[in-house]
Amino acid sequence: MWKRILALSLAVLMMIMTAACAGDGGQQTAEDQEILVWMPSLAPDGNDKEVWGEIVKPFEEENNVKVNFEFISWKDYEAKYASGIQMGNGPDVGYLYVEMFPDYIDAGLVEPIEDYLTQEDRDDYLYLEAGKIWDRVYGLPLSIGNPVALFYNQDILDSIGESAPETWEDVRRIAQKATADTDGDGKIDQWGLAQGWGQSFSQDLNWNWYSFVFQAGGDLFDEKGRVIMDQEPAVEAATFLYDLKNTDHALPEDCMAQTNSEMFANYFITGKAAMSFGGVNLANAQLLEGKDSDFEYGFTLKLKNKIESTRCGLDQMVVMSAAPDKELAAKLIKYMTGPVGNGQWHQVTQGAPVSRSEENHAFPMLKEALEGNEDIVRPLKPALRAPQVYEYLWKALQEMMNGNSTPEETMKDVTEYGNSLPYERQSDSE
Amino acid sequence: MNRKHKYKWNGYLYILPMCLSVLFFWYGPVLLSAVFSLGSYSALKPFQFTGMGNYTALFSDKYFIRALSNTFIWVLGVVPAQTVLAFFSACWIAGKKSSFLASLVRKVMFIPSVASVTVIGIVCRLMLNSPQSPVNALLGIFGGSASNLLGSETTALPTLMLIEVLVNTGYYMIFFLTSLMEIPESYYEAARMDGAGAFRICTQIQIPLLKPVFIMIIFLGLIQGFRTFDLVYTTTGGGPGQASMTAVVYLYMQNFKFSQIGYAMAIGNILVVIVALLTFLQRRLLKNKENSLY
Repeated sequence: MWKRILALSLAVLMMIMTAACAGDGGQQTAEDQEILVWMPSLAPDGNDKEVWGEIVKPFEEENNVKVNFEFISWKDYEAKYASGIQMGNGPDVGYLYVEMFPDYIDAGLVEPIEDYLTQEDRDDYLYLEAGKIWDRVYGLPLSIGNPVALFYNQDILDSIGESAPETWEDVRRIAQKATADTDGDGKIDQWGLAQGWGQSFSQDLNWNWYSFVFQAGGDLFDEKGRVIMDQEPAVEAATFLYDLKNTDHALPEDCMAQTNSEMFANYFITGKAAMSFGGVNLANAQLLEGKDSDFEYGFTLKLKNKIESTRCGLDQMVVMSAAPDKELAAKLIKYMTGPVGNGQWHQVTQGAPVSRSEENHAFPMLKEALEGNEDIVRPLKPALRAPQVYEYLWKALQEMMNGNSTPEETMKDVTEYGNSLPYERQSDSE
Repeated sequence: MNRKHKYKWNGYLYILPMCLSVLFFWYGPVLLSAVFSLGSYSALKPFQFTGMGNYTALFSDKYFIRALSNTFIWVLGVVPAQTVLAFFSACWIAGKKSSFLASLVRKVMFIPSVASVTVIGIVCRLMLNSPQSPVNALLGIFGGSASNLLGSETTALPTLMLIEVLVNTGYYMIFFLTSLMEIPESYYEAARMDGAGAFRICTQIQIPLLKPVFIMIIFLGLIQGFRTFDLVYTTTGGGPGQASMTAVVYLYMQNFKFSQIGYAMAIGNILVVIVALLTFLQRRLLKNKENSLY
């Protein structure tokens, strides 16, 4: 008898413990007053939790709420969001980049926030218009940054009688001339371009692709969200990149194994490459400042084929539709992206201001990059299924750079794949 | 004396929690996976039934075909190599009995198998890609370089397979070593008295007696091979292009990067069928074998 009772009790206890292991998600209740924020880790020292914890303290006290942060790695960022939302454990406030917005908006997961903005807000934010997705405001920019620049080693350029490149023709000519055996041992030890194609996911499209399509006068998607990479601009961009490696042999042999950041650090910073494409960000600025090789360098955002244009990031804080108190969540993102919150954040990250009333704490290189270039920096165009297209594109470009397909074949293949996915918004098809 | 036999239900109560766990956390997801594979299911949108559409699309998906054939290449390359290496390593260690060198080799070989494969992948990537790495320095002595091994479509997959063999050999070596240690010394003495050398002892005593162990290790290796994910994902992500893409990495990308959950589940179900067939085959081969070491 006692054994049966004991056995039954143990069975019930086991089931209770199993049920207790399930999380309750990030959803706040009226009694708890907690807001869960998911963001990537962006602080230079990796101390995002401490920094944001201090920044939001006044907000927490004023609104009697606890703000909980969770920081996610870039590699698994979209996967974390997708699985979290699917399990009902998603955040109340999120950080989305433009590639993510369309699918999330189309699925009704992100809340438009125009109703929470005052006229004062609209006048103060610098990039509200640029950040609109399908003509609506779904988020507030936390940062504008990582404009893609062409960095060049002035000493190498001087040694080959060249000046700062301005066009694609300049880049190819300089890359060919700079690739040389400088110590006479029969092996190439200086390269024209340090560009890495070994990243395991599509992040390096930021430096290796988008800007070139823009400079060729094109885009990746049309207004309806269809992939248009089989058109001349994208084919021209693909051909340009293909030729730099496979025709001019201006890239180091291990360019297919290393990421673009690794190539920047291992070849450009060490003075072994004449040029490198990369983001104007604090990490690269610190690498350049601390380089052992003593060479003069410069950078330009104004590379041109048909037009001058370069990609920049405009990531935004958003209110997720599952947030129980959307007004409070909107208030939080206004605080985080406003002059007070973002001012403190940008003191740490040395980012550029996103509102007129915010003090400018941008590091000198970023200030220099953005000044006078407001017309040529642009974020990506939003499109449904963009993340899938970009992942496919990245793998296809790797195949192309390895010589397994021509630029035309690659762009045709990517376009066919992209347009085989549903690209029409649900509201368009209803 | 008449005594009614009382049926005791206690035992069922004791195993009930585990049975429920297996039902909810194993059979349940497998069943759900089969259901969701029959439709279009995204993380962001509700399920829509489409029948066998995912399966027919899979077999015309050139990238899935490439991933599956890479997986078969992986299995056919890694499993024999690690099995043979593990066996001969065990033979050598067993022959050295309790020498310090044998003990050291045994420990060093086993260490990678207890380390996280993710960590191993990250470290190997750094060691192969970094121009300053010891691997590059060593190969440089012979005029070679490791820095593009993971970036070349011809060497990316073989390089990863080699790493996998080196990581797994120690683990399987322990199985062989334990079994070899149990072979009575009298067998070897009798063989030597009959004039048998090392080769005959190996082929006519050790291998026949270790047949069940070979079967078990080969099938464990096959099952592990079809589930390859961590090492590939952390080093190349399946690249460059599709050169090192495996079935489970492709499944992961479909599920978590592309949110095509139904499609990913169809891939998973195909792998479940393959692994189930292998397990069934293993059980049939081992079924009538008693412990025939003695």
